[in-house]
Formats: sequence, C-alpha cells, structure tokens
Amino acid sequence: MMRGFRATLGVGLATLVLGCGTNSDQARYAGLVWRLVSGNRGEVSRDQAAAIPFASIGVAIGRSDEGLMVLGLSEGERQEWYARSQMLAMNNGRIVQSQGFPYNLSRLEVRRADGSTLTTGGTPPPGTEYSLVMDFQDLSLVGAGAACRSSDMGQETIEILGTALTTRHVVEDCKIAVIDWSFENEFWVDPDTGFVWQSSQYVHPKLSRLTFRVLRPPQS
Amino acid sequence: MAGIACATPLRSADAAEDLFHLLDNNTNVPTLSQYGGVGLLDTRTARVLPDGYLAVTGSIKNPDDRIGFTFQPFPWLETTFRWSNNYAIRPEAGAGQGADRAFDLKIRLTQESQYIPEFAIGLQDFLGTGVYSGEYIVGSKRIGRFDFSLGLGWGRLGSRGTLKNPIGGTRENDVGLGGKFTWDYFQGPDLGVFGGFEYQPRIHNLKIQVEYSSDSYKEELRASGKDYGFPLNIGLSYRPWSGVDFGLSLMHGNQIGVRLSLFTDLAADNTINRVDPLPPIRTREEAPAPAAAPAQAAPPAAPVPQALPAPAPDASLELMRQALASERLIVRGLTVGGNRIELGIVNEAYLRDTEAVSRAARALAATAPPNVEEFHIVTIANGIAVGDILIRRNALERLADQQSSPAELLRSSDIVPPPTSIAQYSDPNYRRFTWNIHPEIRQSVFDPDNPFFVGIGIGAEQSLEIGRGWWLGASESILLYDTFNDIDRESDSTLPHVRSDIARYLKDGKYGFDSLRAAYYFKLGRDVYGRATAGYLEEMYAGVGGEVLYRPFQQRWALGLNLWGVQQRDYNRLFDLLEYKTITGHATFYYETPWDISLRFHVGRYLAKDYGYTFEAVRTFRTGVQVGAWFTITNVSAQQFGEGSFDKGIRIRIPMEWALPFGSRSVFDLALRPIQRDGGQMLFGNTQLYDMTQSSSYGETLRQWDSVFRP
Repeated sequence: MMRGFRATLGVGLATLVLGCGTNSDQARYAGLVWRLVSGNRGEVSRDQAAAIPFASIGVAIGRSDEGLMVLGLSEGERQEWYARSQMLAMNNGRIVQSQGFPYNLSRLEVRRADGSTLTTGGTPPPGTEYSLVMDFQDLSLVGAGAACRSSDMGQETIEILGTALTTRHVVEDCKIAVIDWSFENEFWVDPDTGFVWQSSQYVHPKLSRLTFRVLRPPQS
Repeated sequence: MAGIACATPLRSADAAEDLFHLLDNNTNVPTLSQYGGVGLLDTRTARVLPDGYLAVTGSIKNPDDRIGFTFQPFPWLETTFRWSNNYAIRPEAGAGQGADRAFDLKIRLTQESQYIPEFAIGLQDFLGTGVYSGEYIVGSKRIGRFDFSLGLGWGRLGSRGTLKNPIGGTRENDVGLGGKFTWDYFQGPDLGVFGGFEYQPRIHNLKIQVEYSSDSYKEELRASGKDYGFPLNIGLSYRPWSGVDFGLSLMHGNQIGVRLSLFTDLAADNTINRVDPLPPIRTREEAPAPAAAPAQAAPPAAPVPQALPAPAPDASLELMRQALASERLIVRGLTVGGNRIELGIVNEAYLRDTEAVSRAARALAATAPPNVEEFHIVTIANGIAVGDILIRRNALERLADQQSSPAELLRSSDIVPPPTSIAQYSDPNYRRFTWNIHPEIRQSVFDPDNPFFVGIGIGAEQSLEIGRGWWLGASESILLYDTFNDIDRESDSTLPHVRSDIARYLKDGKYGFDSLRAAYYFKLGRDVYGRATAGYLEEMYAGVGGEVLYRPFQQRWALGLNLWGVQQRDYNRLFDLLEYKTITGHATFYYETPWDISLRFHVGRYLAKDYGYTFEAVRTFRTGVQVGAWFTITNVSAQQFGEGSFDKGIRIRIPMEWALPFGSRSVFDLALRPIQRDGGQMLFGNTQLYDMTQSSSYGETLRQWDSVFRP
C-alpha cells in the first residue's frame, strides 16, 4: 500500500539509517524486503481460523498478509464482516461497501441491462451484460456506472484450509468509462448453491484488489 | 482528507463534468517549475503545493542547471532553497564560479473561486547574490482543460523591460557576497509581463505547458555573448507514478530542458500501512482461545464469557515481561503491589513514547492478574524519568468494549510530572549494552563547485549504561568509497576555522571515530533535567561540558543552559587535537506554539568566539516529520563572515516510522545551509535534553493520545 516516491524514499532512507544491532530495525526491514522480493505472504492458518468461533473470512489487499474478519451482522442478503478497524459489507459474495481501508467503496448496486436493481447481489449469469453502480466518497463521485460482462471459466477446484472445494470460476470484466477505469473481478462459486467461497474484487480505483476466502461459513 | 472530501461537492458520474483525469496521479499537486517552486517552465504561477508537501526538483538545460527543495510550511506559503550552476556567467573563472544558492518565497494571496483567480506574490533569491533576484505578482485561473497564468515581474523577472516600472528606483546586484535583505524589492527601471497556460490533453498524467517569459537572460548575454532571450518556451510534464513528475521542454528557442520532480506529503499518516498494529485491548472478561477445531466443520457459536484464571505471582510477572518484550519494550523495572503495577520502560522501538505507553498498557491488560486495577507506567530515557502516566484498567476495558472514547480514557488517567528518582521503577542491577552497525553515508552538499560530494562506508555505535544515568558511548565510521578528494576549495575564512575546514575532515578522516565520551544524566528537581559529558564530543571537537533544562510540567515553554570547554580535533578524527580552544555556551528559550510550530531562541557565545543569537522555527507534523529553518546573527560583520553574510539554513528530519511500515526510532536528519562558514557555529549536540524529554512531554502525550489509544 505504500506507493510511489514515499516507498522509494522509505527504502532508500532505511538503507542509509538501518543496520544490525541490539536496537536496530534490521530484522524487520530485511523481512519486508524479502517478502517484497519473494512474493510470499502470510495466510490465516487452519488453527487460527479454528480458534475463532464465529463465521470468518480471510481478507488480503493486493500482496499483503491475509487478515481475519468475522461476521458481525447478517440481515437478509446483506452480511457485514468486521476486523478491528475495517468493515466489508457483502451481498451474496459481492462487496457492496467498505470502511477502514486506505480507499473505500461507499456503495455498490448491481443493475440489469434494463436498469432495474439486482437485489440478490452476487454474479449475474455468465454471458449477461449488467452494470455496477458505485459511489466513492473520497473522490466525491456518486453513481459511477461500470459496464460489466461476466464469463464462466469452467469448473475449478480450490483449496481452503486444506479442504478441496469444487467451484465454478466466474470472471467479470468491467469498465467505468467516465473515469477510464477498467477492472476484473473473479468469483469461485459453489455450482449448486451459488455460494461464493472465494473472490477477488476491486472496490476502489486507487486500491489494489481485495481478495477474500471464506474460512468458516455462516450458518444458513 | 475527510474534510476536503466533505467540502468538495459530490459529482455525479452522469453530469457533464469531465472526469477523465480524476484518477491521474497526484491531481492535487500542481506542476513544478525549473526553479523548484510551482510554475510552468521558467515562470511561476499562483498555484502552490498542498500544505505539508516537500518537493525536490532537478533541471538540466543551458545556460543553467538547478536543484531546488520546495516545502509548503503553511497552506499560503511556499518556500524554496535552490542551488544553481550558471554556465554562461563568468565562464572564464572556471566551473563553479556561476554557482548560486538561493531562497525563494511565494505567498498565496487569494484562492481561486468561480470568478476570482488565484493570486500570489513572490520573492526569488531574496537573500542571494543578485544574479537571480526578482519579484513577481501572478494570477492563475482555470478554464476547462486550460490553466492560464499572467503576471508582472521585477528585477531579473522584469529584465525584458516590457513596461516602465511605475515604482522606479534602482536595484543593487551584490554579486559575490549576498545573503542580505537588500530592501530594493520591486524596484528598478523595468517591469516585465509574463504568462502562459497549462493544458491537459485527453491522455492520463500528461500536461502541456506554453509560456512567455519576462526574463531576457541579459546577464548571460553580457557575460557569454550567447543569447538565451527568446521568450517563448514549451514543454511537457508527465507523472508516470505517484510522486514523480518528469518534464521535457524546448527553452529559449533552441535549448532542450529536462526536469525531474519528486514530491511527497509529509503530513500523510502511515499508521494504516503498519505491519505491527497496536494489539487489541484484552479485558478480564475475555475468554481464552478455544481449542483448535476443524474450521469448516464447526458452525458459528456465541462466545461464552469466561474469567481468566489468576496465575501465580512469579508466573504472572514473567508473563507480563514476555508480553512487554513482545511489544519490543525494554523493561527496567516491574513490580506488583496491591492492586497496582509499577512499570519502568525504555522505548527503543517507537517514534512516539505515547505509543510505547499504549502498548505497555495493552500488554499488561492482557497478562496482569485480575486484581490489578492500575497500571503506573514511567518512561525512562538515559536513566532518568521523562514521562509518568497512571492508567486505570477499568477505563481501558471500557475503551476496549467501545463503551468509552480515548478522550474519556485520558480524563480518567493521570499524567503527572515524571519522578525525580527512578529507583522505584528500575531494577537496581539494570545494565544495558547496545550496539549497532549500519551503512554510513557522509555527504557535502551544495558546495559551489559541485552540488553533491558523497562517501559510503560502514558505521558503528556502542553505548553502555554502567549505572543509573551513567553512560559510556562511542561511534566510529570507515569510508569505503568517496568523492571527497575532488573537493579542492579551501576555506578563505578570516575567522578561526571552526567549521569551514569540513572538507579536510572529510578527506583526512575517512577512518576515525565521531565520538568517544562519558555522560551522566540526572534530575535536579521535578522539572529540572541535567547532563554532563566529557570526551570526544563530536567529529570536530573534544572537551567537557553540560546542559541544564528547566521544563515546567504542562507548560509550552522551557529554558535551557549549556556550557562547554572544547578543543578542536585533528582532521584525521583520531585522538590528536589541534591548538584551537574555546568556551562556548548558550541560553535557550523553547516555546511550543499551538500551531505545531516549535520556536527556539539561543543567545550566547559561538565556536569562533563570536557572540550573538540563533532563531529556529520548526514545524512538526503528526507523523513526526519536521521541517524548519534557522538563522544566526552574531557580532561578526557580513564582510568578515564572507559569502552569505550570516549563517542560515533549513533542516529536514524524517523518521523512518513515517516511511516504513513498522515502528522505529531511526531518523534521517539533514541540515542544508547555502554555504558552510565559521560565524555563528554551535557545538553539535550541545542541546539534547529538550528533544530527549519532548516525546513524553505533556503536550506531546495529549497530541498523540487519540491515535494510540484506539480500541
């Protein structure tokens, strides 16, 4: 999440100032550099997930470590997942609002081609055209419409905490023409129930994609 | 930023407004000119950087190359420090003789509204040698994809002489000495008119500049015979990444110009990027973690409140020590008495002592026996207490349960003057040896011959606390590569060469030690701090001396006194000494304004045995980044002082915690002065106590409280 000049400056200055010793930051710095180079990131383990007695998801921003969020509210189609200072609201696996992230989605609605709101959220049937209507408060932008089309990439087996799950992989290509922003969301959906087990979605043009996987599903 | 978002009217994506550039990099940052300040190419606009931004701009073109540091200390004030090398002026004197260091100021007079342009007034090179001196008034107005500017220029910026200056008067070009207020601003026979526009094509991150310059480069024509006076310049600027602006231009009709600007927001909070966030506050009612269970097999279940069992006292102490150590805190003393814990900590991990206190409280809340109700946390630096906070556990738990706010926690906590003795908060046998090995960078910047000489090597530091407040310390460095042998400019100072022989230290002292000293830190009373130090104090001086600071609790002001008897060290930075000896010392008045600006006023005797005063103003952002400026006036005349007339400069202090995603007390400190002379020079490290006590001070604790005591 550190970007541009600031990240460069940080690495440069750290190289000048840091070192090794009793009170240096060398180990932390080296660890971060290694993670950047290797691309490794920390994931929530099975034990960590099992220690939380609530419905939970693992969430990561871009290549960041995965963090736990627990289900705090379930009302109709809307589910709100909470970490200490973040919130993700979802509608059947579709992120419709976020709070506490560096950049946030204020609101999202899925609309059919005829303009009517698709209240059930999730992904419309592959091959259909629809739009996502998004608000971004920090950009002072409301009602930005993303024209989308979803494609079924076929059956795919994913593994979550050691459990293999058979899913359909759905890819959604969207573009908000007015701000010239294109993005691609992905969903791994239970072929029978439509439940979204795993997904990566963009919630803001200035934020790397959010990836989540369901570690402990809510009771139906 | 939330305030800005609220103040900006919501834009509907359906509206006719052009939102194509909404996602461009740094849309809030205007283009920087080749002078470093905000502008088009060679002219300025009325735009300024956002508050708290720092920009570094380098430009290469004939007849001059420039490097500028621009900082926006207030929303209405832009400041620039610039080094220029003018190849056209006095070329017969050789490289470097056209080098110039300058300060610029720009004050924004109005903000743009629907009908009113943004107006600004500026002074360019207002303390300089006169070569670049000029003043201007400029207005800017945005119309669609165009941002138009039109201005009037005086001095160099009026040299095209488009109009007759109604103010009249004459200007003095004090080339060769400079550094003084000349008070002939806006005077001279000529008045120039300049202007231009910036255009945003439908290409992301690209802008086109076209300008008409009122600078005829007549000094360059006179000196070199080459004409750089063609008034029309055109250029492009492109921002491939956030914080990076690359410029390409056709200047003076036939010269290619290249510019690179790097900028960043010193006020931008880095907390959200931290990989070591504050741990959650655990309450006594929280259940311990249940045994592992198959994740997807288990249905969600309601939590069952369960009290933590009370461990045995010794085990409990060990548990608390481990929890504190896992927060990277050094425990000097930890005792449990009745329902209170007495804890003395040393913060070597976090920029802000308040964060260390918050982490200590969280660690204790998670591990202290259930009967403990109060956490008394004393922050200790160099063996003396600098902070003292009593946090009530119930209040902390209410915060954790979101039944109260950080402000309520603050109200229920006691922030009191730190104790005179730390005996109650430190193990009697506490000893600590620390060492550090790190890359060493030594630099000499803005030398008239070359803007940047550099040396790279390895540095090391050691310190040992041999008794409460008694310290031995050393620091050494070895340079493995350097360009210092290319420095061939020698000091021409008529004063004792107390600092101006820096090049000799850089060249001859490639292997040596910066310091080797013993120190004793003590408190004389509730609000009085002191230290005495002897040995090799800094790179250039050895000696003995000390400092006393009176810092009344809950007050914005403080008073310090320091006195040192010193002898100059040999250039090789080893044990030998030169003959020069002196006594130096200052009385210092410190004041923290309510606007995040710290003021320091030093009066006393300087290293060259001159008497005078130094005034410093420093803005400190919540991030800990500091940017400031100073000037020193002594009884040394401008003539005797030499180029620059008096000592002045700017200081930038960047904590690693601002740039890196974890807590750190490492700091990058850079002092930039136009030229290093001998008048008005202090001993390095002559005042330490104020900075040592600042992070735990009452004001700083209040300032940081909300950010570190979140649930």
